[in-house]
Amino acid sequence: MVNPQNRKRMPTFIKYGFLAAGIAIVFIVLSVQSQLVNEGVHNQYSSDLSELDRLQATLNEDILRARLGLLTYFDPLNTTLSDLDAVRARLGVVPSFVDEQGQKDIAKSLAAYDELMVQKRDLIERFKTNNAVLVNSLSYFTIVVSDVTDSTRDGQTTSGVADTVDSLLQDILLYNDTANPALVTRIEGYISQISEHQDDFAANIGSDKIEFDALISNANLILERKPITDDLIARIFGLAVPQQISETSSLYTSYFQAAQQRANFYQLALYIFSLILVGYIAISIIMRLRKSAVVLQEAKEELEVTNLDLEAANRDARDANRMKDLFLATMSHELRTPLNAMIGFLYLMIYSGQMDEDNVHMAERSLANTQRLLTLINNILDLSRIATGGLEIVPSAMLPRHVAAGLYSDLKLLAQDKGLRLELEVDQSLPETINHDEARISQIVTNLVSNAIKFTEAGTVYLALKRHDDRLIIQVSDTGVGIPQSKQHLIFDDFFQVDATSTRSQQGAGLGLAIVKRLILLMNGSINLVSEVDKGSVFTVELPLELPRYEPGDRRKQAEHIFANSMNGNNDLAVPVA
Amino acid sequence: MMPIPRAFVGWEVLVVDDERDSLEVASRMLKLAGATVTTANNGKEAIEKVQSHPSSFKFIVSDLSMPDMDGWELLYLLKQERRTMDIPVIALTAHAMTGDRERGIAVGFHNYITKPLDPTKFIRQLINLLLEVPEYAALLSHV
Repeated sequence: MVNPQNRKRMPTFIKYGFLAAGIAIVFIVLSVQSQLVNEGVHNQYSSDLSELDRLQATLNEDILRARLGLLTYFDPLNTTLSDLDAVRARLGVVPSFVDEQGQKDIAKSLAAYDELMVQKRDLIERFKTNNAVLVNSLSYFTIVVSDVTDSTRDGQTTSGVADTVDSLLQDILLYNDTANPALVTRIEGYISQISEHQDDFAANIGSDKIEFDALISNANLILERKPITDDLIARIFGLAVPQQISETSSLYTSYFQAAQQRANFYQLALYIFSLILVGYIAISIIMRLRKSAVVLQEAKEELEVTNLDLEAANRDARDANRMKDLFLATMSHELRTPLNAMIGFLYLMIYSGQMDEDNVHMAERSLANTQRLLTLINNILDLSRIATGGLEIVPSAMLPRHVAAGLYSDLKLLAQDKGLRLELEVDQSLPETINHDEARISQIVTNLVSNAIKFTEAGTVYLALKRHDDRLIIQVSDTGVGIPQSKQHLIFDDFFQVDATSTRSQQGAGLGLAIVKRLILLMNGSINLVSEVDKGSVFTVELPLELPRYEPGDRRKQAEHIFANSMNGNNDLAVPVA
Repeated sequence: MMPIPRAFVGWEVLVVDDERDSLEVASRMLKLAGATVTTANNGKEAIEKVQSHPSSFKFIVSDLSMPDMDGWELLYLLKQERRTMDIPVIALTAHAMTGDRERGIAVGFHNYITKPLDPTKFIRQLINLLLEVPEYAALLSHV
């Protein structure tokens, strides 16, 4: 069987599942987008761009220092260049938050920078070569000049040579630092002057002619290389590298800002979406609560109506029950009153002593049958009273020996009628006074003994009362037909007969044992049967033995106690109808 | 048949019952025990008879449910007066509903006897109940 509700619920479940998944996806997308601009990556990239700019400046500074001969080696230049390469390599990885267009533009800008760097490197290499020659020449020139002038002064000769060399030195040094074209002419003049007279000078000062050759060749080298070197520097510095870097920087900055704006937009969207979602959830919860409040209210009202119905039904049931109790009581009274009168008169007839034996016999039979009728009526009424809870066990002080003797004297007549012996045994251990419901105990004993008599054809019926620890034991045994094992568990059922055929040998409605069983249960006791077919049966009743709180002669006290209880509302007393 | 003890010889006893047959049965049995029996058909009659001869009745056997005045009211009136308050009253009824015995004892019935009446048993029950009244114990000691 397919539950239609289940079939209806499944799509709803799936619908909500999709809805939840959709919301989750939107959330994830929005939060990823809003988290895209990574501040760390951005800071690194910007600082790399600045670093590139700074390193370019350092490179230029290094070049100038190399030009001025402040760098003995070119190592710092190389270090700066390799640092530049490293930074440039890092800049190749453009942050991912820069969009596609930005990636392209920045790559293009960096490519332009790379092209410029190729040129710059080339120029730097050429600069390095020329500058090496220039610096070398300058230092050598200076040394040669000092050698020449030293030897001149030592020889005390004409000062014309020294003056010319000094002037050349001065002009060369000046020329090295400036770019005055007039100096070139003057230097060329000095050189030609020296080269014209170098043999004389050499002879004059007694030095080697080679020194003057060196002087001239170095001066020419300086003249030749100095403008080349300076031109190279100018070209290096003239390269638009810083502009290119700044272009890249501004490109990056604008794309970064765009990305940031985008991220901000997504963040805003996320906030708005969250707000809407939270608002929706809050509203739907409120709606649901309101709806369930309405439903609850309706249910409450419905319950109240049901309660009223139930109360009415309960009242009806109570009324019906009271009617039944009343009917039972009335019936019981109406049935018993005439029977009681009949029994009384029959007893009186027998006791009158004025009848002959035949009449006494007939009166006795009438009495026995009337009593049987009364017992039957009592049993039926008792059963229904037990069933409706109308029968209560009312313990009070009773004298078990006395009661047993009374019962014995009654039941003995019944046994004698059948030619049976009835034996009574009351154990010494039994207390003089006990606290039990005398009428109900009598009823149990009467039912059990009359039952035993009924089903025994010959022999003896024993009635024994004893005490076993805190239990009152009533035992009834017979030498009768016995009860088959298969029926032993049924004999306490209402209207049960072991022999249910129409030809059964025994009379009776089958109520006696049912009442016995129920009375015993009401008294919190138990009944046990041991029986064997054709040997007999033993019924053993065990009741909790209770001792009286008052002596039998102390009835006034007992009455006062009960009266006090009833005044306190502890005792629910029925309205007497008898 | 067990002999009926003639315990109440010379005793004046009042029996109250609205059922004529019940009244007759109880009266005859008490007479068998030797008592002089006065009868009343309801509580009203009974109280009149008691009040006109307040000291003559040794005990009263009364039904509970009766027209005009029932056994409970009769008992109440008897207990109101000093002259009649000590007369033992034994309730006699066809059967007892739950709590009747307690209520009966609580309001002052001496005890309760349930019909049907076997003469011997009835008289013995009465004797046993009256033995609890100290001034009657001596009178009944011979039984």
